[in-house]
Amino acid sequence: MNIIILPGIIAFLVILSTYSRSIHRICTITGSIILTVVSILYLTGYLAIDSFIIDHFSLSINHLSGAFLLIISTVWFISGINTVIANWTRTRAFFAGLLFFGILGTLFSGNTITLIVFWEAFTISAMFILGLYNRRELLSSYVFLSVGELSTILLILGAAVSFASAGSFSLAALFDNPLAISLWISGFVVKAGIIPLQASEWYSLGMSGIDSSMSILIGVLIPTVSIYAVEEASLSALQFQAIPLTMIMTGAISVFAGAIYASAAENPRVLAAYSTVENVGAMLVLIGVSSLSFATGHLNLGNFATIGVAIYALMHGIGKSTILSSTAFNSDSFNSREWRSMSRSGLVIASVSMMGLAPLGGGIGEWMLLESLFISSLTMIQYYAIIAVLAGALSALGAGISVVVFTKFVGFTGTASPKMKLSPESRKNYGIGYLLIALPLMTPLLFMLFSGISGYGSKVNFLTGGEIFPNGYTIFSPYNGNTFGVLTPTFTIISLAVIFSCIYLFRPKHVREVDPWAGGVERGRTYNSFNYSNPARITFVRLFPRIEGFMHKDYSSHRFDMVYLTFLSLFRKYERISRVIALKIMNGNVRQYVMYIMITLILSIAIALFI
Amino acid sequence: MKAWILRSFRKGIITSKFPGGRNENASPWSTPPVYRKGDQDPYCPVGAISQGKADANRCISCGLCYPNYEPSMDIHGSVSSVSVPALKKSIRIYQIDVGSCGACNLEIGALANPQYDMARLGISFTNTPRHADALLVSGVLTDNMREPLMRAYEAMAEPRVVFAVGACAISGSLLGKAVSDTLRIDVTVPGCPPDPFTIMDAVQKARGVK
Amino acid sequence: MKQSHMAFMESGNFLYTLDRFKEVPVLYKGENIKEALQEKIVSTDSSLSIFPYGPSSGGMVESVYFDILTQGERIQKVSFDAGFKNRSIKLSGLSMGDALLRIERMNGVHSAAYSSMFCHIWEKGIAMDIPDQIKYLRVAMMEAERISSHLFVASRLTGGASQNIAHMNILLLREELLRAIASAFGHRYFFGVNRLGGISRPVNINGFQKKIRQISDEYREIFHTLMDSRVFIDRLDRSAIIKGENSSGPAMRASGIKKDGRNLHRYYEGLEFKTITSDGGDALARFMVRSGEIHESASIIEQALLHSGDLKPDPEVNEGSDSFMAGGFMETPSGDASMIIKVRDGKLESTGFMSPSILNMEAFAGSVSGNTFADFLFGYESLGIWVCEMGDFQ
Repeated sequence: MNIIILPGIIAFLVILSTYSRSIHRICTITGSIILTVVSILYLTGYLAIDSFIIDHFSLSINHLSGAFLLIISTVWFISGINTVIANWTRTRAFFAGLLFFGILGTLFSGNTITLIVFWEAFTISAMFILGLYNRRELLSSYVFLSVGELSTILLILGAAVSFASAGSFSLAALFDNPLAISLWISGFVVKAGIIPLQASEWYSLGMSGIDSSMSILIGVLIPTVSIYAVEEASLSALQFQAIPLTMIMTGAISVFAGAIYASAAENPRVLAAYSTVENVGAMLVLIGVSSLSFATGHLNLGNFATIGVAIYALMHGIGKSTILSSTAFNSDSFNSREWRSMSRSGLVIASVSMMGLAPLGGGIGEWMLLESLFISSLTMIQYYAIIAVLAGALSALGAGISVVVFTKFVGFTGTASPKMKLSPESRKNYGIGYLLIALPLMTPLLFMLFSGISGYGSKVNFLTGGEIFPNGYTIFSPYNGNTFGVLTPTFTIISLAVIFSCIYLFRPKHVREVDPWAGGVERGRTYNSFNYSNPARITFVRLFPRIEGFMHKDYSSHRFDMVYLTFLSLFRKYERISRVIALKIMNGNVRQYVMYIMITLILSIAIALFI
Repeated sequence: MKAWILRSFRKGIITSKFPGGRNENASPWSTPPVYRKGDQDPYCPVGAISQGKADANRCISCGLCYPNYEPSMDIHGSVSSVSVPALKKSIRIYQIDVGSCGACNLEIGALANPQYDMARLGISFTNTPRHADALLVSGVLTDNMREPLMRAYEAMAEPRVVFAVGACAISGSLLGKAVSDTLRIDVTVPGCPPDPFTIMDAVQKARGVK
Repeated sequence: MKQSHMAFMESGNFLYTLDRFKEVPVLYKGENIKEALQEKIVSTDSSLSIFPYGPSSGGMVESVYFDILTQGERIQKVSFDAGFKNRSIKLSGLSMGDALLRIERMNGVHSAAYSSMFCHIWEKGIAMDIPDQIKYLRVAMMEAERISSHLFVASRLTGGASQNIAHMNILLLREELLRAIASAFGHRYFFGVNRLGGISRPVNINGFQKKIRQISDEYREIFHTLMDSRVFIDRLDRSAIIKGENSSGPAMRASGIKKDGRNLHRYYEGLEFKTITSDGGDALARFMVRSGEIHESASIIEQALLHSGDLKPDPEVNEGSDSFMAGGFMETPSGDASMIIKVRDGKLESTGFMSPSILNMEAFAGSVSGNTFADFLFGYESLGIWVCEMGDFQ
């Protein structure tokens, strides 16, 4: 009966949240905590999978929707925090609640009719939210609505085709008809904002002036729930292998094009929107790989890719919403130093995660994506292998560009550190700021929970994840019953923590600060001696003893700076080698660079074909 | 591309040999006037003329004393109270405009012209007083520019030299307050505006080259 | 007196009533940027930030302060504060001769234009006829000053675009011009040359026309070579577009409006010259207009000096003790300046002064929104704004 109580509670909280801004925040945070607890209970098996059917209204929850429940509740939580700086009105709060309720309903819906109803509910409310913020320029809401309705039309067509052929609205009936399932999946993919239909994504995020709490709901939750729906549909439609192959290629092109667009974006919100396009593409590739693997009998690889989707979705949810909220808390109108410094740290950590660098969630997701494509290029039949190689090349290129994208993003938005006076009010919500930092860091620790869904295609296997997570802190990628690669985010985090605590402990205690020249007037910013120095060197120099004695007839004492000398000799060697490499190989010649890529691509295809 | 190179060859070398040789040119009335004829002191709007002598620091080059007085064509009129040998090889200049008419700014900027080419003497401009050895102040000191001026002075590292360029900065001329009331001036560069050769000569004096 | 006042009032587009002059000069235009920031950021969370520039920073010739509201590298809005070097020059109560010295130093770079304007207004006020020779000599001074000012703007633009050889070549020409002016008029910036009703010291214009013609021809050569440079044109093209009449001088003519104060001025009667216009209204158009005007100015100087030989300075002019009110305008290199003076018993009672830089500065602040950060310099320098003439002159 949980399945009917849970939406009831959420509906009650949503209605309550229209009372005032603080009630809205409290309701959102309470609701998200309830949902998080419930989702963890589902994933760990304390709550059984459940369904509720009256006539054509059907709700059901399984392990996949349990995992995505965790993601959307986390994102809702961050959105709730963001109501602090929202331009709050009762209507907006109502539509925000309705939007979340629609997304929750989509996650829980058990047949096509119910899904379309909830799908339409959140599409309409998102359109209203966009329109309410920009009454003068309604273009963004119209664009959003037109793309949203295109997806709804495709869904309705899919449901109609399946009803005509099987006489049922159940999801299972859908999966027997190739036309119905293609329409159904393309409906979700359109809404997720895939290239070339990315207009809804960047218009709604970049061009409209909505609050961060709303932009998190629209820009993060809608792609996430679309990905959930795609995954649920594609995992069940195993007999049509053309669909996952199409998905892999579409996704890979989206990764590449999204990253290129994002790197060219001038507006930080358009940048975030295109990065979403890129992430959605990556998830689509993973879904395709998992579906293809289950269809061709590579069950371990299928499980691996399925977990990859969930981790990627969680990373995207937390990372992107942290980035959107950090940008908001960093803006000049928000006068709280704690929040700002917190959110700036959150921004950097989330950006590192979004760049796809280990050990954070994004790194794990990126690794799983490329690893699964590697493995499938080696294990699948030749033509599938070629597609895997091509998709892998595009995805890797896109992932590389995303490093540039987020470096630019952090460079533009996160580096200013204004000095400001503290008001007693700003101290109040000190603790929540830490959560903004902690959430992206938590991602690798949460990944174990997703082992719960690894049995979706074949077997039910909670918490252990079988061969993928044998001990809870190492991820193994499967290859013909053996292991292919290994990633240990836990150890990476611990080693980084040790290094940084060393630096913190041995850092120079007195840091000199000077006012920079700022045109001759007070700007309230200072530079410290760390700005232009090498902190590692300053730290390690403290570990070495002094030399005292006579030198040129004068008694002097100075540090024996072995670190400097070592660094110097190392750097001289490095410089010599890099000069050779720079002249001979990496001489900035674009033609040569393209040639390398081509050679690598041809070699990989050759290897995939003949080995 | 080709055109530029041909132009450069056609022009030849036009840079002055100034600190070594004589200055080729001077703006006549920017140099201090000297007595020529007449019994009475002529009218001077800033009261620079008394008893047959003109005070270079106050002269605003208006030429009202003509024909009793005529330009001396002497560009060595600057007075330096310091001589900093540490700046002999290179001196970096920060120019601060505290309320000038613009002419002094351009004359300081003219040091970079090919005819003067200050770089050959190791003089260069810098964009922040933190990197500067010399502060070239031009104009009458306005109230709003007092803070930036003091900040610029405080931002400079030792040894630092302060130049008052032009009659406005030295004595306030017709238009306002002198800089010397607020900041200690090391070198005065007379003229309204001073000829670039005068400024160059003043910089050389401050470095102890001459 | 009345007649001259009427003549001023009838002079069409250059008419400013005294009421207009009574407005406080625009020194600071900035509160709205903070409001805009509040407005924008409360409703959005995009990363708008204020980039403060100035008052004393490298890259600017004069002390002026800008708040640049940016989003990424796009400039959203610019507000300025030109009050940092406001000298608050007090003119009322002075004798006309003393006032002239101060007017010369209002903008040292355009001093010939300002001093000629003031002398012209005074001569109109007391209905004095000055000989054509003096008139044309003043025209020659102003046109030489125009060339020098335009060359300076061109050097700033080429320097900003890192066209270093062209930059140096233009600086070279300007220095040659200033030296020619110094040997002809005794001062590189024409200080003290104009006197009420005449000139104050002998000038030696032998070979001056020839030198000017040579400089103009050389500049034309440089200009044509510059116009072959894609890099240079790309930097100026479509930056800080100003349309319409809310600007002055070359900036207005660059947007296709054919208005030039010289066509209506008494000093320029009998001299033939073209009014250079361009279209587009961007920094490139302004650069083209200025370059064309350099050539025209050279021909004006040739025509003007044809009529005037070596002049002897006039004997001391009696400033008189009339009471009158008169106004006039003059096309300075940056645009048309105008002035109204009220004289009682030979002393200035009150003045109203309108400088082109105020208009151009406002136009610049409006036009630069939407450009990228790198276009800021080109927008500013191409207008030839002088902060010194934006001060408070009462």
